[in-house]
Amino acid sequence: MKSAAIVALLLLFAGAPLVAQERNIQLTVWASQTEMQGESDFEGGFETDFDDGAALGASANLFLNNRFSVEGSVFGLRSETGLVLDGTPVLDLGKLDLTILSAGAQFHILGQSRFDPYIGAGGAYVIADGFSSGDLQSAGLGRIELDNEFTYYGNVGIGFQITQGFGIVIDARYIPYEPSSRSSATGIEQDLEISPRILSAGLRLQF
Amino acid sequence: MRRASLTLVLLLLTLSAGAQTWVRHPGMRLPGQINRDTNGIAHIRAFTDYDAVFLNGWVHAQDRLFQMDENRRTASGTLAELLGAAALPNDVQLRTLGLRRAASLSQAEYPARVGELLEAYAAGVNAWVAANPLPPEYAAVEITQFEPWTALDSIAVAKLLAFGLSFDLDVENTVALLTYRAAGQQLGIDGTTLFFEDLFRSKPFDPASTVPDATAASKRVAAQAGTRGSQERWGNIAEAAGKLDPAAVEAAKQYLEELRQIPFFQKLLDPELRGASNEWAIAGSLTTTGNPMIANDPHLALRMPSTFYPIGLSAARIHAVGVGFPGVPLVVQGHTPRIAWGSTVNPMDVTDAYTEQIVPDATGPAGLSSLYKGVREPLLPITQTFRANNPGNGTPNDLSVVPPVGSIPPATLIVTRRNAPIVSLNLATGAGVSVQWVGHGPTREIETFLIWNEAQNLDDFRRGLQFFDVGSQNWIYTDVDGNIGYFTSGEMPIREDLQAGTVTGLPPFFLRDGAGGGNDWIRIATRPPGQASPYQILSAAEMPQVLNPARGWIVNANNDPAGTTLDNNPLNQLRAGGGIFYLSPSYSGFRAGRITQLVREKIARNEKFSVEDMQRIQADVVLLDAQFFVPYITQALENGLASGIAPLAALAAHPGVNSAVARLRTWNFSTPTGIPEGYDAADVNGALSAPSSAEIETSIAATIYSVWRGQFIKNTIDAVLATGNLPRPSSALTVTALRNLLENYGTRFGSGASGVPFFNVPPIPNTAETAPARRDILILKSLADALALLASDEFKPAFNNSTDQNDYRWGKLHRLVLAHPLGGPYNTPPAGGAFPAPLPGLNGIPVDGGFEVVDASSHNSRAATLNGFMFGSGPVRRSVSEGVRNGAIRGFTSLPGGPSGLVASPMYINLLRPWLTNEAFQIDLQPRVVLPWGR
Repeated sequence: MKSAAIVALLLLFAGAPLVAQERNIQLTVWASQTEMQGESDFEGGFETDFDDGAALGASANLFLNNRFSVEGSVFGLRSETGLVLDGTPVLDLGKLDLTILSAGAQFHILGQSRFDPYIGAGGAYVIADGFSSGDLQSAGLGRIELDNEFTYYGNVGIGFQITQGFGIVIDARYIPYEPSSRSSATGIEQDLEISPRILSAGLRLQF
Repeated sequence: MRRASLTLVLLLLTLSAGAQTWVRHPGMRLPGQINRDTNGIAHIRAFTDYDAVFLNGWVHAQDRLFQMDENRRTASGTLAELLGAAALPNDVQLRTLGLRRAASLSQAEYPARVGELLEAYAAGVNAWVAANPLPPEYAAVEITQFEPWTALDSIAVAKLLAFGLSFDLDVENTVALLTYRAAGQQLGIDGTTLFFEDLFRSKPFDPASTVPDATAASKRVAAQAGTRGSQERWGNIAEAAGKLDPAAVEAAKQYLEELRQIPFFQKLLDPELRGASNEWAIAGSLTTTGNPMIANDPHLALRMPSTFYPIGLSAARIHAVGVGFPGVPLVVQGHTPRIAWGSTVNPMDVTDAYTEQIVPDATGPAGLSSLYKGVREPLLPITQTFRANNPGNGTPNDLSVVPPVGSIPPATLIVTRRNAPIVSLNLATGAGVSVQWVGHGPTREIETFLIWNEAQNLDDFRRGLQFFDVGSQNWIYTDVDGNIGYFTSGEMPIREDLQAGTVTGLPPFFLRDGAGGGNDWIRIATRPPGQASPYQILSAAEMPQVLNPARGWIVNANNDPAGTTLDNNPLNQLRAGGGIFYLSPSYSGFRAGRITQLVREKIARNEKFSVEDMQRIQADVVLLDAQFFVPYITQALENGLASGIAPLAALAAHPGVNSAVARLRTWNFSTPTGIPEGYDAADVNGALSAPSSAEIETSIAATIYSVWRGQFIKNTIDAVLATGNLPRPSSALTVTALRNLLENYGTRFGSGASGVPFFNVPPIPNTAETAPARRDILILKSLADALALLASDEFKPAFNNSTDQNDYRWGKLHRLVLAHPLGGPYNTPPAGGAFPAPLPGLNGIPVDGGFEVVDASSHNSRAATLNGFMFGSGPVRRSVSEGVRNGAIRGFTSLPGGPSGLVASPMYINLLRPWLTNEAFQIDLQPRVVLPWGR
């Protein structure tokens, strides 16, 4: 699934100049910092703890008119994850890898202009790799599988066109993600809340 | 990075007392907690069982390292490497008996999970040692290095404990029987009957048995089969005894004498110091809460630090709180959330000593063979090298090899047929003695405790029971499902002659014939699953047991579990499929009798039992034997006052005797200290209070009676035995024998079944007519002798030669020292100054109690010296557990010392004072930590 998303993204970038002959298109690559908003409903006082992670992403905007565009994006997130009990880290869950595919609409507040503040929202599909670590093995839990999930997202950002074809953008987006998870060893399910916030800086090409 | 943040420094573990901090040592798989409660008891929580047991090892090392080291070295026969050459005799005997060799066999049989947890424990011990200086006891013996703990060490310690609970040496019995027989031939009396029917009786003092109807069926079978009469039986035994090789008997006596010089074996051989215990269960129908309850108090050496170590373990599957042994992981007595258990020693006969014929045999590896039915069987030699520490010369770790000369053997010799070491050998005569013990096989007791530490119900408990192979116990059980139960464990070997329905030679509680055949344990080709012994054993169904008895209560206090000895013959029950059903030659009958009495009385009053009632029974210090003997004393005085026989009338006129009898007449048979410095159950929570006038009166009566008992034995049984220089029966057997003599006085007039007269008052003739007067004279004379003794110089430090009976307070005599192996300031008192001796000029702590009372604090019944009434064995854990229906087990406990073995620690004796006054505290099980996604 993850590799299919990357192929789709490459096709999107490759096809953009062709589409741009008809429409105004922006392609952006992102470097991001992520923050997970996990407040999982564990019993016994356990909480998840996510390190601030890094992400890479890419997006394409197709302008339908001066103020509205549609955006397709893909982000790959990675975060070190653990369990905390009574304020103390107790279990290393390993690296959490998420791939987020999204499609949505953006409203460009000032229209297409040199300064381009915007807000957006849409649907997202989150692909998770699950947790795997030595601690999980020691605890007899095996691997923790996470369900992939359709969700939505919201974002705000501002772009600045340095030249006609090149600009920079900063963007913040939030993807609520509350998957079911299960242990490969015990089979016990547990609802999680991960919900990444992604703060990104991007380089934009405009066609 | 995360791993690094989770791996906290070692110090945190030490500092985590009460801090509820999750910490991870590099040797742990995941973090864990060591939480110390207000009593200093460690409650361990971990996510994995491995880590819980790792921390179990950590806190054992932190609190009891020297004790653990002493335990493993005792078991392994390397104690001299720690304490010096004085411990060499211990090492020689224990290497010969081969507990560590047996532990190696067990290690190979344990399943992988047990092995992994034993490794975790060892890692925890060694992690603590690596991070901390050795405790001060090591400086005292000039040792600065700790030999790393191993899984095998823990198994060896477990073997040692099982050995202490199950080893019996049949030599003393044999020597006594032979002496009686020889004396009988010389004096024209029936020495064998004197032994079996009069003095070394199997029938206990009190007939209380745990499962009264257990052998009803087999008794019927025995009767139908025409069991032989006692005269024929004793005659056959006497004949067999006469055929014993005198050289082998001499070798056995020499072995016995060697053991008697070694403190560890003194405790095993002295019935007063041997392990004992009380336990009982009350069904919910008889309790105030409707919940079933059990009470248990094992009696072992009262020492410093305490025998038991209290601990709570909460992890993935292990979830138990109670007590364990330093050196062995897990809780051995305690409770999980759903079941509770306790135990008493079941003296099942799982040791046999054999006479052997050893001959030179150049073809064998040892150059020697044993003869079996005339065929040579080479002995297996196991080379030994002994080392000894040399403390006191200022050189640390100064160990030297002890050359194999004199009493240091170069090798242990094994009779391979029985995997039995030769414990005594006279090469000149070829006479030897070997010892076969069930524990020499690959037994798996630790597996039992692992199963029970995880147990949820009765099925789990029963599953664990099958692995408790040696060190037989009477287990008392309750759970939150409303059950009470009693089970016995252990592998009881089937002897070939008994299985054939006869006794060939001497019975199994005497020396057996190792050369002629007929006495061997029946070997099996393949061991059934779960069985350790390669011999036939009694099946689990044949072991005494009862679940939810209709009467609603169960009592066991090392008494006859199934009533097999109540007719004074332990060998006349038959197995269902044939063969003699044999468990043990004798049992204790005192404490079970008293507990049964208390339970019956309460039920008769239509009263229900509360936890406090259970604890009151545990604190009972009434002398059961006094209930029997005191009426004879009061009657003797009445008879004397009306008698025209001069010696009796004179004794009855003795003012001191009159005064003493008056005290005994109103005595309630209880034994308080009667002094403000004394610790009594009436005191509260370790705080002393002045005794009431009633307590003082009771205390004086306790002193007079207890000294009278010894004098009465001296003037009756011992006076007779002294004339023939005959061995004396043990303290408890003697009191039982006296009871039997008095109960049959009306028909035998003071003589035993053997015809030997025990009530002799020369020149009064031993006739039926003079019998009552002779009895009364000896009773009152013993009282007069007791009063004279109390006023003598022997008791001057306690009573200052006073003839005023008001001065004879029991607490001045009945005292306790909790001894430490290094003695001096480590003992309690003085516990490094934290517990000064309460009585100037008298050693020990004055405590209530006495001979064979429920709140075990027994002394020798023959006691007649200032320190003869002191005691050194007693309840090392009192517990009451309630199986709260639809809830969790509630546990209450009391311990004679603190968790710490460090004399400078406030936790060295923090629990002792409440224990001395019979207070208990609730010991809670911390909740198990269940990981998300975990079960």
